[in-house]
Amino acid sequence: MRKVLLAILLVASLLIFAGEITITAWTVGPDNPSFYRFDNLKAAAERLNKMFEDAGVDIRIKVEGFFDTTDWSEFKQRVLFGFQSKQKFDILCSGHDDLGAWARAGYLAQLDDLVKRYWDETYYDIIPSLWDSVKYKGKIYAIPQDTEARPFYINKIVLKKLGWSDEEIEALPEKIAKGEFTLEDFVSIAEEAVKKGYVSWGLYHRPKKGIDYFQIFTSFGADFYDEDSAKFVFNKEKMYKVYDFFYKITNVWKITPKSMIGTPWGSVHKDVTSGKVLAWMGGTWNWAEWKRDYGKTEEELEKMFLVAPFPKSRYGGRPNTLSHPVVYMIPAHSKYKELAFLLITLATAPELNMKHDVQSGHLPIRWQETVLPEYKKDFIMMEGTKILPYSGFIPNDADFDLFNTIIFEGIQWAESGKTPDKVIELVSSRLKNQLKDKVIIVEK
Amino acid sequence: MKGKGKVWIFLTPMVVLVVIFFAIPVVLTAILSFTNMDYTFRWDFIGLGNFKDIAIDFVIPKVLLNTLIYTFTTLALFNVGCALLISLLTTSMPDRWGSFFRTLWMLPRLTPSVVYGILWLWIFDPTEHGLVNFIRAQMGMPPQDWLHQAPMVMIIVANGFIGASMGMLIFTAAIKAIPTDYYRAALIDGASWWMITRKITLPLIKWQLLFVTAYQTLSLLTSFEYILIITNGGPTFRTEVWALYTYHMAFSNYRFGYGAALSVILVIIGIVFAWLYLKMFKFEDLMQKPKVEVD
Repeated sequence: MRKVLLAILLVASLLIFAGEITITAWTVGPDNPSFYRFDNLKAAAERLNKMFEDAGVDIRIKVEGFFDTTDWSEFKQRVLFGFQSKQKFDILCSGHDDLGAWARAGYLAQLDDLVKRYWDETYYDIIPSLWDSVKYKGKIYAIPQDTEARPFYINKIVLKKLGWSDEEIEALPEKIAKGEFTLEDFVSIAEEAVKKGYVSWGLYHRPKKGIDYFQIFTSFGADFYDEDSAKFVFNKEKMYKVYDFFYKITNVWKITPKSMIGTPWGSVHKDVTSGKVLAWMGGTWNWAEWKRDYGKTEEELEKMFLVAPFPKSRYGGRPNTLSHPVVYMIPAHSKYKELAFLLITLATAPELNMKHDVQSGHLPIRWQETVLPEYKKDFIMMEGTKILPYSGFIPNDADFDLFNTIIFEGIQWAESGKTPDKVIELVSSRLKNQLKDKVIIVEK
Repeated sequence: MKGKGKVWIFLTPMVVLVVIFFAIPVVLTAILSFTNMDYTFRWDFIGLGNFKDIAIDFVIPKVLLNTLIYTFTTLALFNVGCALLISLLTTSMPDRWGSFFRTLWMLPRLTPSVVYGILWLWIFDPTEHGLVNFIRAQMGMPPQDWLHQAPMVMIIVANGFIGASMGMLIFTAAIKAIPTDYYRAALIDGASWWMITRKITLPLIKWQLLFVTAYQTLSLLTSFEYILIITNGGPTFRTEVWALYTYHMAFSNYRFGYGAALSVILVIIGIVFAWLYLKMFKFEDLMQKPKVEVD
């Protein structure tokens, strides 16, 4: 703590003539309950101002900016043009997968030295695997703000109606984690539940482009990135199985509506929380959304859902989940990089970060958070942390978004009724056309 | 001040605006189309690379077909067809009722586009939470997925309800400007409503018909905001029109060079249609001085 105080005084002495300094932070949910991404920065500024006051330093920090709840793509568009037009913002909060493109373009400040400076006070305590998510070409460009897991939520009430005992239900997450219960086993149950009329649909997945689908690729053992060559991989044989799955869930097994992609988010969550769906490929943050925006209580949710990793396929792959840490970054054009970093460091305090976790259903980034009483009381945080060992990240590659867009087009084609053969042909051709030598197409 | 000086004083502000907000962006877009500019905003020239990519992009034929279907169906059914019909009917009834019906058709135009788009999404939500499916559920009918089953119809209708109002206003004004003597004479001669419309009204509003058709064609070719909100071009490119594809390439995939190349082609398509209309409507005849001097 002494080191942090010294740093604060050092920064303060550099800014001694500044009076009030405004730090502008652009932060994003887009889920409503994640507002602490912005509010914690304001809390950090309050703490810093208190320290300045106690030390008799006549400087005050004011945090301005916004917390965006519209949409990832709109937010990213705004940020990109903000970088280009050098708008005033000193802290940026976005997904870790953005830093590849933004660091390559020179928009972000490199943070290795600053991390080193505060390592012994704060950053030693960050869960180590999260550092991988904030690096581009081996250098740190961001500080983790939270992490998450994408649980496979299965409706326990429906399983009971299907004749499952309490013991069988309780043992299911473990069986999925061990690979003893596969995706194909789930499909059989989902078909049965739909046929018997216990649910309208067996499986819901996100209705828009996003990264959640990559869990299904992992379930089928389809790798999509080669770290050594930093190129995307499209293995036709493995991806055939993936697209075949998407084709069958809507066209053959009919456990997912053909209109899944495009259904408004609100309707998706209403269906899931009202028990019309057997399973939902969601995220830990949904728990908070369901309580806040869909009128569910903690007890109701715990009674309704079990939380498990996404099952592996019988034909390969592994049970898995996907983390998408949201991170704080500092624009290269910011005038107050050190001060911005200091605010981020203070906002990374365990008790502040825990407030965000509890409020938004995200998971801790620091070991110290896991010993706080709030953590031990929170069902989804405990359960989500249990599935973190099965977690992976998407690559921090500059072209990931384009790759993802094309892969998603394939999912739309498959679900709307194009055969997997045709989808493979279309997607591989489009990948070659758009990504050129950035993608390796593996024929067999 | 002499004649030419006055002309330049009046023209200069507009010329400056047109140069800044139209000519320069057009030139920049054309130059941009020869680069592979991405999120790094670097001007790396690649010659005809983007146009070659467009030539082998298999989505392009689908996008072009969608654009033609969307543009000309909306134009024929709503922006010109429906607009003309409303104008003819509302000018043939007592003014009070005519104004009432025209005001009704103006309402979508008064709604902010995002609100209007979201209303459509809510009305045709594929689950029981949507308005239409909620009503169907009350009658014991299963929910229907309108936006998936007939997405092109949905976006044509959504756009059409808004687009019809502009043509309606112009046609109504034009019809009301026709001297009533013509109609009285025709009625004395025993002409029917249909005869009057065909022989008097339509020929006398030919200029307005050309203007609305040409203007709305170009407008529909380049408009995509309602499609973006309602279907975002989906499902699977079924409503992806050229302007939206350009937007997606430039602002979702950040391939600004490729997007610029697509927009250059769209400008060429627009020019071709404008030229065709001028020929079809015999623009030069319309622009000739009247043969009878009216003082």
